[in-house]
Amino acid sequence: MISIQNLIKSYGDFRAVDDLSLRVEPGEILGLVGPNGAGKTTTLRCLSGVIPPDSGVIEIAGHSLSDNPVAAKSGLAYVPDEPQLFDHLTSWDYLMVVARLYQVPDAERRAEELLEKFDLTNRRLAFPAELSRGMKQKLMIVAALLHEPKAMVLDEPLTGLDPRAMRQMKDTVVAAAERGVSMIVSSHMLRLVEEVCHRIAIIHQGRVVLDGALDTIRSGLPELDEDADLEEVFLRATEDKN
Amino acid sequence: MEALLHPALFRLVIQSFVGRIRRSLRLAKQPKYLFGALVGFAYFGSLLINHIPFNRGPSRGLDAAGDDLFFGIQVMAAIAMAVYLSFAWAFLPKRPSFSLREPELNLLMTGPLSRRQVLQYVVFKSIPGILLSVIVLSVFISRGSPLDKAVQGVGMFALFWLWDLHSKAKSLWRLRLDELPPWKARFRRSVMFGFLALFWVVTVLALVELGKVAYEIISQLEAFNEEALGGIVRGIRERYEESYLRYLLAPLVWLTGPYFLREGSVLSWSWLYIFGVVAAHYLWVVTSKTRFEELLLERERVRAMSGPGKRSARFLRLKENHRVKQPFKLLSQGRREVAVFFKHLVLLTRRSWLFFFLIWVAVVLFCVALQVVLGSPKGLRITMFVIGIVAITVFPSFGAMMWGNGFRKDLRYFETLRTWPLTGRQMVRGQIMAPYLQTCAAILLGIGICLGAELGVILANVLDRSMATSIIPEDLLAHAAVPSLVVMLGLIATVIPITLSVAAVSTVLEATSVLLFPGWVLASEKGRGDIASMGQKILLSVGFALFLGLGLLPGGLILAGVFTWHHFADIGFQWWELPILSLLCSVPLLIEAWLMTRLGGKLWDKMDPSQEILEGFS
Repeated sequence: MISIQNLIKSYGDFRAVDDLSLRVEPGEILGLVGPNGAGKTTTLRCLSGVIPPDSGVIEIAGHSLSDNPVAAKSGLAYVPDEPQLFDHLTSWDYLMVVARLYQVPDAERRAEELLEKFDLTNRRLAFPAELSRGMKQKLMIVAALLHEPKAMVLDEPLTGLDPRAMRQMKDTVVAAAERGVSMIVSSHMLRLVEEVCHRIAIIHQGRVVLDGALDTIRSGLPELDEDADLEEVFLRATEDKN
Repeated sequence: MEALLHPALFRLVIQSFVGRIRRSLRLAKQPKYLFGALVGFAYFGSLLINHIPFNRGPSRGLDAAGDDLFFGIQVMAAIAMAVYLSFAWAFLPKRPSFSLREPELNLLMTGPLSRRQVLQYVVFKSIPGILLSVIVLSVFISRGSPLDKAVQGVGMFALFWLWDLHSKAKSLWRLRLDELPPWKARFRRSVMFGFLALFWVVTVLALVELGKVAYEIISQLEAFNEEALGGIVRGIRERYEESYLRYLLAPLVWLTGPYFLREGSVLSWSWLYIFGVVAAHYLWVVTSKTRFEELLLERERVRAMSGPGKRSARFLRLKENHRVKQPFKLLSQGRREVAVFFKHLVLLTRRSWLFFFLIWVAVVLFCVALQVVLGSPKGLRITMFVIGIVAITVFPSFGAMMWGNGFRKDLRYFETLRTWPLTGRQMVRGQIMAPYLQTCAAILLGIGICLGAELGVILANVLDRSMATSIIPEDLLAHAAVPSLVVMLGLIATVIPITLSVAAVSTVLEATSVLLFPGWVLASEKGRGDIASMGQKILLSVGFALFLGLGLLPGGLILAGVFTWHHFADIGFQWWELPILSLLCSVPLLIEAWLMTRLGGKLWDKMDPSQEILEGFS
């Protein structure tokens, strides 16, 4: 379970996230969408512990991120939009480092299985400079899944992936949710969000402006057609605020 | 009209330079950056103020040496240039000596620009940097009147630009060889090597002749004084001017002309020559037919994929059998911070502990063998002793600042590190372990060299009765009244606790300074060369030294206390007390290191580097 209550984060005079609250149940996939500068990345960075919030409470798998960060982070996997891999570590080295950090039992077998699943077995001794962007992204997903997290945060997970890898990624997200993982997927690819997410939160100017299943949020905008897709919902929800 | 840079590209060059300056000014709005900039300016200012008085007249050293020596230095400079150029041409790397960033490549390659215009941009892009270097250097090394300085500044600019153009031209020439038919490439290569070989055969023969002249003059000298020196130099110059070497080196001698202008001889015809060579090089570069675009694109692709670090190329060269090696087997269970330690250790080496132990043993044995074989000469003993002592004294204090791993390097992975399930203290411990271990290894190497030297002395004395004296001070040996090996072991037992404790303090202090000033460290790591960054570097270094001094104070106080007690109680100091004293002094240092680790942990936990770090790398 992921819970964010009254999150506030400012940069100087600019309030990037303004009293934002969200809750993602186990097995649920939340799509986080919003225009550029809406506060998505800041929210995800606060959620994953990269930057501390000014105020608010974040809980991951029942552990408060501020009071018990190690337990909270142990249950979380964060996949940033830009894969950050260490120049000098091979794929295998990196997975072993992650395994130690997250105390993964039977790590080698599990790493081999995941590498196989993501067609990376023959790249296990490659350095990041020898991997394409898509391969790096897949390696980040493998590392994220290695410790069987209870919550996952994916920022633009499909960027740089080929169609086969995109399909694989979508299947992975759905499969993880089916295992009871709480997931937040942030993306500008609204088709993806519409396809895989159970719930959608549209954030704008640091606040959640709409939150719920697509049908629910669509019904909150009576001027839209009944069959309006997420793109239309998104445009309508954010245009009034501009 | 394609002789000069396209106006739009000229604007781009200027705007890029102005943008860098603006960025520095914007950063200075933050107090710590402003402070850093002020310190940087103060540092530069003090250098200038200290330097200007020496620039108010001709160089005293050179003028006192006379015209002949002055000329001799110019010829030596020309020979040095010839040596450098020969090596540079003989070992031409197969890569362009210039780079274009991705936005530049996108703009230049897709824009309606000719190849010549792209190459002109490549050439002119370097000019603001060259100009800046010339302005700074002119103040420091030019001499004479303001007009002389200005003229020398222009000369320096011409020479620097020529150097830059030459490096571009030769790299384009090398790359062109790969595009030519093999026979043509071979022919060009042969001509180049043939020219170099001929040049050096003739030059060396002429230099030998000059050497003979010098020898003849020296052998007839009765006393060596200023007058004799003048005679030698004059004799060599006369012979030089008669020989063909004069014509051989003339093109290079003329190039250095602006540096060797005498007072009152501001204008020289060598200017025409220099500008002619610059113009020829300019045309050489901008009319090159070499297809460099793909290489630049590939280089940029690799750079983008591997991040700003330049070291990735080193790892890519590793063969598969080396990639599977690890310094130790990282199990998935156990203390989490060991993962960070492992990560940093792999950055240094993939070799095992045993390998390094064997290296250490080999160093000790080498020192022993060298002493024995050479009969333990005094010079060798002193050299080994000094090398060992330098390692033992320098690395504990400054090792952490020298190594290429630790928090400093990890800042650019900040976004990943912060998500790891580690407490602040665990993170700090993980970050300091590898640099600390490296420092310890360096200290042990120093100890090994001293130990090897002493064992060598002992063995040499046993084997051939060399009567060599120990590297341990005689007073200490006499006072101890035990064999020198026992004293050496006692000294090692003294050195180990204290140096390892000092290393612990300095390593943690280095990590703490990174956590306190991540923005400054980041700027330094990114290689930003502006004046604010320089000031920040100075402040960090000075602050580190100051706090290290303060940190070592408790140990020093204990030492002083014990000595004072011995003095006033009139108790003789025994050599075996040294290891105990060392242990005693180490205790407060280790406590300090422990406390600083806790402080560092808190800093890590509370750090909010939203803008300084995250935006710095975006």
